[in-house]
Amino acid sequence: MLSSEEISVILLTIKAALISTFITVPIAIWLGWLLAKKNFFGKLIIEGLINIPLVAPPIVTGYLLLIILGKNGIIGGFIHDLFGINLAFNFTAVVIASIIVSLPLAVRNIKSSFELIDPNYEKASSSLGASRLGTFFRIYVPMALPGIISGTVLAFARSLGEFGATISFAGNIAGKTQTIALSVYSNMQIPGKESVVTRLVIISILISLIAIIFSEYFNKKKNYLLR
Amino acid sequence: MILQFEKVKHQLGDNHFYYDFQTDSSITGIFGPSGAGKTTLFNLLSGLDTPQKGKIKLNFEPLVDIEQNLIKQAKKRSVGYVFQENYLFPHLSVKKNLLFSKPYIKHKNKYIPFDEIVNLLEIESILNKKPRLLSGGERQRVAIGRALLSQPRLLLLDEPFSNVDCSKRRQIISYLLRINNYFKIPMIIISHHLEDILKLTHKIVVIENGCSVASGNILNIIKNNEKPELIKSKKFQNTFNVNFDSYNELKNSYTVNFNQDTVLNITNHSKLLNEFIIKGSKIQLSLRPIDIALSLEKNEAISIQNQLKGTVKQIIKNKEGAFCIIDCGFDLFVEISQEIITNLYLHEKQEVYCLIKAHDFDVVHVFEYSETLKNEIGQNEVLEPIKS
Repeated sequence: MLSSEEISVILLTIKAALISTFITVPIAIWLGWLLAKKNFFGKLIIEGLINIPLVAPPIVTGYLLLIILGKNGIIGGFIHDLFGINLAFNFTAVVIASIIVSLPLAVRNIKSSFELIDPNYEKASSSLGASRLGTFFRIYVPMALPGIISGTVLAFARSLGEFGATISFAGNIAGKTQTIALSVYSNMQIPGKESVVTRLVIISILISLIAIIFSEYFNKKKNYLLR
Repeated sequence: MILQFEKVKHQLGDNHFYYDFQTDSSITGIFGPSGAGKTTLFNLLSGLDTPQKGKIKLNFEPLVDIEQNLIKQAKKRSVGYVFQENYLFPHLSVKKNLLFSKPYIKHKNKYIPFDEIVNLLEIESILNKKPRLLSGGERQRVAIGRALLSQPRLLLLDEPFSNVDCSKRRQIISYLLRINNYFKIPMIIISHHLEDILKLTHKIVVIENGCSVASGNILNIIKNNEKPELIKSKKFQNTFNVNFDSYNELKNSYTVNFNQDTVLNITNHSKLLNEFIIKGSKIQLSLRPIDIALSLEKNEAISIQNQLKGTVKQIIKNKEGAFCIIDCGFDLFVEISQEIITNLYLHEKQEVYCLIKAHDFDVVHVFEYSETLKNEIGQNEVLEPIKS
């Protein structure tokens, strides 16, 4: 059976993953559409910046977040001075770290879905009187829906497993910023806590497996819907 | 409907386009080879693309006037567009595709109701299907219905016959004539098959190498020798309307008349068997110039029953061959060799007989019985197929 501490870690992880996914997906839909359908100056640079967390070591991403959004960071310092809000080493930091590392995964998946949509559907929609916004919500989003769902699931799964960026930007504070991954790491250092580690690992694998199966299912549906 | 393209210049990559023509027909055909710039013309007219120079006017209202910096948005032009590949939205059912434009319709005058479109295009049984489950002909009809339900003042059809087989092509032509007749919506139809265009209209615009090179009535274009190649026998067809008179079951032939003096016999048309036609119903026939023979006198000792008396109106000779325009009450184009013209001493104003086999006529369309006829036979009387 799971202890109350373990349950609180799991709930905190799921809560952080849900909130970060909720924020990530609308941004990823917009960015995915923009990168797939529009040509503009600096497109490659934006694409590169979004994808940095995908290739850079997570600890580096966390360090960069600390420099930019920390209490003494470029933006974080400004926010702290103006509103008295601290973005680092709290639950908000966990969510921010999750958003940054899961965004490239969601954007890549959603972008590829938008790329599959023939631009002539936009012309057809426009000829029927739809505005650009109308076309986006009535044509692009529904047609890219399998990709959007798949991207959402991947972003959620990535948030669940986030470790490097979280530990450097949010810390490993039990009950406050300690997620499943951080708890596994902490308990691995303590002799006799193997069973806790095993239980958290099994829970983590189960959630990830379900997420990946969902993601694959909708990925396969992506082409089917567009036929 | 009056559509004017005034010195419209456009460029796409290395391709240059120039359109300068006017059309006032209820159906206009845009004819030209593939890649000539027909679809570009539609994109400019519908507002999906903007020219670099010139004016486009619809019923004298400017849609584009580059000099005045006036470019009307696509959604404000009320121009329905049926794309070559249909582009039915795959995630929506047929019904939802048809109703897609409903939230954007603001003007309510001359409203085309959903039910009438569904009945007219015979798509009631497929309303809940997804587009991927439809046949080519069904997809085409849904695309036409969807464009019509956007309540356009002009309907553009880009190669409506390209994705359908020959029998379905005939069916689509029939639907288009019905729509034009019933809703009075002007249409512009792109096709690289002249024979299909001619079944719908004689008013054409010829596009070649990105330019409009001729426009107007095809008969005048040919008579003026502007585009002599248009009359190549496989492409050009005589089309004319006749009135149904009677059916002879023993001979399996139909008698139709152009006027009191011109009676024709036509046979082998299963299409007519299932039509709800009565005496006086209007039928559109087509006939290839190559299927007509000329004789200087009426011939009794011959199996050909249709011998139309007429006079030679014009003889056209060009590198494509020789043609006569015979005035039989309507202009009939007859393909004939230059040798025969010489042998028969054919000349203008000469009296001739056009010999046509009964099965050489093609029935293009049977029009709905007219309002007058409906009143004559009574509103409630059921019209039966002439042979079941």
